[in-house]
Amino acid sequence: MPKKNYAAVMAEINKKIERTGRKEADKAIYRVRAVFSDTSFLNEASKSEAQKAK
Amino acid sequence: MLVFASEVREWGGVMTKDSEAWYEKTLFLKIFLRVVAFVGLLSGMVFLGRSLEQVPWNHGAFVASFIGCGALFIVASVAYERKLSSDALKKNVTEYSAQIAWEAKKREELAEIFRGQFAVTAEKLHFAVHEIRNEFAKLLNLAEAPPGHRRLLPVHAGTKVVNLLADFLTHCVGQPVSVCIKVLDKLPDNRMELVAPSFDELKTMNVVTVCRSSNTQKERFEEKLHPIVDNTAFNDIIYRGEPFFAQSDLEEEWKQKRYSNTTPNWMDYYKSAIVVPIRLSIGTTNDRVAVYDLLAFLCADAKDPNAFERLRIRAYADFLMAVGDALYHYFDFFIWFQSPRPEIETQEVSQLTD
Repeated sequence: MPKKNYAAVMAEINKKIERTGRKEADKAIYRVRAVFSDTSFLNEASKSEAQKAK
Repeated sequence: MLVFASEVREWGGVMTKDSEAWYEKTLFLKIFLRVVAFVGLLSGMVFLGRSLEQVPWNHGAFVASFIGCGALFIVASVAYERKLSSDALKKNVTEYSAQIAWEAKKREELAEIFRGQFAVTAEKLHFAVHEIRNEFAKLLNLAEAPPGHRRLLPVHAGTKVVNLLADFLTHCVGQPVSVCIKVLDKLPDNRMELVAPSFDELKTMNVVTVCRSSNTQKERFEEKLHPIVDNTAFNDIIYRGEPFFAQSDLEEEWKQKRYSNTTPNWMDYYKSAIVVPIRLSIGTTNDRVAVYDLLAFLCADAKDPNAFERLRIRAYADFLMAVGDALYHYFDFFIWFQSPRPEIETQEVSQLTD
């Protein structure tokens, strides 16, 4: 099971907000992650799915 | 006597105020009795004033008949009033009982509809979570599968889930609803993770579709990258911090310059849309702003404006978010499996196909 170190993430976010002075995101702040390192294969996968589509 | 009779009538009338006919009868009766009383009183005064000495008070039969007539009049008036009150009460009770029965029947019908809809909702939610669990199990067993095959696992799992969601939402809305999952493309500097993206960083980021429901138009399967800042749905969530995006009339929003979309001819495909983040709350900043870990977006759209009724659009968004919550852990584990893990021992690779 992956271990979660959210404290480190929060520290990094706080540091970045202090540095950049970001004001706009007053409702929520995100840590974003890319699910795939390369998404170019998705178009090919999508074409094969299109064959099954109506 | 008249006052008494009127009071009796009023007692009976407490429960009959809804009856218009009863009020009409009351008015007529009151007028009639008061005219009679007035004429009687006037006659009596004239009679007494002119020939009081001629009244045969010592004549027993006269006194008895006088008292008897008066008593009879009182009894008759009271009886008549009571009858009127009783009839009105009976009628009112009958109407009231009928109304209660009708309301109970309507409540039962609505409850039956709710139970039916709830059963469908529960079934679809069960199937969606069931699929996610099964796909999760496959993910656990295929940790050492070749990357070329492994990376397709979220596509297969996602396709099953979006098909279930599309089927359910189509049932609810009464017209085809397309569902898809979108993830972030490469982050700035080819990173896999980015915290608190600034607007400048968002300008370089795109989303791309992982999978679509099979009821989607074929031409929409040609996947392209969509810049976040030029697509209101994603920008509202990532940059403005909205919990979800849901609009029942995108064309109107677009005319009001409150909505932008980089899909060519998007209006040909949909005019109602809901986008929810697949995310997890991981804490709050020093300024007590909520922080979320965001992995993907779950999107649903329908062709007609107001397909997702304005009043119920939050409920549809909640349903999507429920499934999105379950998908978060799937994608989270997938990222973990993709990352280098020297501590994991080599495992036997099982069947790759579904």
